Amino acid sequence: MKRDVKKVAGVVCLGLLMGILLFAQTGATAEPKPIKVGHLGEWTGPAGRTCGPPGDAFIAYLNEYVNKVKGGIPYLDPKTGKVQGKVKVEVLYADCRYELPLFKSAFRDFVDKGIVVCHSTASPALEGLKKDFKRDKVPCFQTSSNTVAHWPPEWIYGMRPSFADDMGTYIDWLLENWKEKRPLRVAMMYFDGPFGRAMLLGGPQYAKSKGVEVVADEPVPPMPIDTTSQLLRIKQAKADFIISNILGSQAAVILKDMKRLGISIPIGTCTDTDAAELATLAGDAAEGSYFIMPSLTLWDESQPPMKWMNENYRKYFKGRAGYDVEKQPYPDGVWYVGWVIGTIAEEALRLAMEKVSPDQLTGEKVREQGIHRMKNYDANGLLPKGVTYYPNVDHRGGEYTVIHRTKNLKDSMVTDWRKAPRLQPEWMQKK
Amino acid sequence: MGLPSGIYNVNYRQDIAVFRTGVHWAFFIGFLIFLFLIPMFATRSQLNTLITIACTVIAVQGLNLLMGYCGQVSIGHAAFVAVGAYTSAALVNKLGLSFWVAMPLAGIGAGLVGLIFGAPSLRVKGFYLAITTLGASFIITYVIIHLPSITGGVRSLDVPPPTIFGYAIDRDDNYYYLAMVMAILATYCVKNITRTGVGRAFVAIRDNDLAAEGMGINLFYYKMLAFFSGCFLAGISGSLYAHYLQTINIEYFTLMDSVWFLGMLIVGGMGHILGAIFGVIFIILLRQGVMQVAPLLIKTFPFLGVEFAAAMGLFVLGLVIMLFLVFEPRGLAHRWEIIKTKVRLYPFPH
Repeated sequence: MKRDVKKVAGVVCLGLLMGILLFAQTGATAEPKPIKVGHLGEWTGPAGRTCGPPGDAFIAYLNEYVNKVKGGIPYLDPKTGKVQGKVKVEVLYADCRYELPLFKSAFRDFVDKGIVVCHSTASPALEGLKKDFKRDKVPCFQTSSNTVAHWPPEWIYGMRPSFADDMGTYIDWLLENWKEKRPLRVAMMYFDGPFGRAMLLGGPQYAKSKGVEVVADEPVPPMPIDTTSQLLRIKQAKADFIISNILGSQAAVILKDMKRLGISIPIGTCTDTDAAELATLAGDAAEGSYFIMPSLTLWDESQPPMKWMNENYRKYFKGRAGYDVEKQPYPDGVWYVGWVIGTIAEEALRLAMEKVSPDQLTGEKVREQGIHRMKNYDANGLLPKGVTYYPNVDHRGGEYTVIHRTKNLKDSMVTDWRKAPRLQPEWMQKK
Repeated sequence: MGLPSGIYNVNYRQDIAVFRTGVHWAFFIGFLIFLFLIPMFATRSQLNTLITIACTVIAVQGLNLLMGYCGQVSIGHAAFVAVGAYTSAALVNKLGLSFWVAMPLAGIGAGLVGLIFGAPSLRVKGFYLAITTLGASFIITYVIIHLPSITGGVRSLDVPPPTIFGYAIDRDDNYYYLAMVMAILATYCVKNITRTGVGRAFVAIRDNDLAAEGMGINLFYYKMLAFFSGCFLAGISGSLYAHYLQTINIEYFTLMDSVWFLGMLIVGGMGHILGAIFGVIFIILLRQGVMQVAPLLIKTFPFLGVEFAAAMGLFVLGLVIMLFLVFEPRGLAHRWEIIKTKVRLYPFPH
């Protein structure tokens, strides 16, 4: 009897001890819930070719690199300022196929699930969701560079100069190298939609203010089959340079038509349609074309930040459908932008968690304590000139960019980092 | 067809009644009560889906009237929705009109534009009329982009929310009621049109326009009426949607949306009032379901990649529409009628 009582007492004590230890452990090292981040993506639809890769990069950076390699984002004890632990990020995403109802539905779903920051790629959808971001107090980073999405500067943030600023950059660079006495003549070709026409919001006015003649204004339909008439008009106008704002698939058509027609006017795009994509789509016709991108050459791994990015690209995208890391061991421009925005989102969350604990993190706090405190953030060296947001004044983020050229069907830098002119149309300036 | 045993129609009024028995009325009223209780337990995302369904039902009912009842093919219906949206936005922003005045005017505006593009229906039909309405889609898009002083061009246009006695209807839970009431009204109007001589003239034109003309039906008048009324409803839908989004852009009304409207009508059942409703609900919920399932699929099979899962969604949607065309060409509405009849005749075979 005594032995049985002792046995029972022993088991109970052991159980209590284990329970205390277990409770103590969970109490001491209880991890905060993952921070939720939303991505309103487009892997199918008219912009799928361009908007899919930045989404892949953004998700891979946060889900794979931040969570698994870095172990999460560190958060501080607001009272002591010491690192208390790391919190993981959970990326919620949906394929919205360039359809606003799907964007709205997905965003509302994400807000119901508690996201604190968002990322999106589609210009018109961002414009349609501006009031939703404001009402639900969720800041959103955009891959695109649409001026109107940034206006008024409220809850949408970029990481680079706008398309109009890019046109201004081309104008400045061309004028620096212009030797002739007559005025420089430029032609504009752009996708006939909100994204393409974003270049016109300040770009042509800047050109005229610099004494540059805009001799042709040629919109290109969303799915160009042939651009002969536009190109012949540009040739007839004797343009010295064509500045374009078009997607990669459209650029390929234009470059091939230029080659077929024997038109040798230099052409530069304002988007992240880089040499790799152009070479894939347009082949030899891409040789010599220019493009603007806020980056150094993506394949040049003598730069440690590029080496770091490319190694991760090969690690996470090897064997993945749509990516051939053996044939092209470095990503294209749009993928790069998504990766950079991932780093910016991480930094915004880290800055916010210096002031606020993860459990109390909201979109408003990410904006006020994170994004608005970001000064000269270099995205792990990928943006050496830094990203800075001027709260409620200018949310474009990056002020510098680089002009590149397709040389031997590879990317080569024509200029170093250049400060882009900050351009806005008159109706924005009046406000 | 479709009456419970022992119930017979003994006069014309009973024959054309929408709800013939007390039980029908009870079910309908119960359904209405359920609809209006939804905001109490639905999430914002669910309310957003329901508002989209309501606005789309109005547009697709218009297309049902035009294609389902009158047999006039239209693959530019989204463009007429755009006309309604921009007309409403322009009237509210430029002229300072109230939403309650702008909405019907937007419908009339879209109807008048529909008359212009419906005029070729007097000379062409079928595939050729489809191409004409396809042209309408491109022309209307071009005009909207190149009238920036009125439409904002390619820039998004801000649209204020509707207000009633100073109270703004700018949230999902209160806009839901507005959208549902309008969808019910639109369905009621279309049902009433189909019960009248106008509706019978539409059906006659659809079945055999030459015979209809031989019987004395004025083809010109009734075809134009079909285009006007179909596009009027499209305009109402556009106005409602614009004031819900509080911003519009021409990229919200693409040719693909017109194709989706057509797909919804085919899946739901052309020429049946419930067909538009079933088709819209089915396709929109399928799209939402695909959007939710794709990330789960990637979590389970990461090697597939996001692109595959996203593309699979479109594949599923296309496959569903094809299967409906093959196995149920008369749509979900026809299947619903069969189910009702089986239930009524149980245990006897249908």
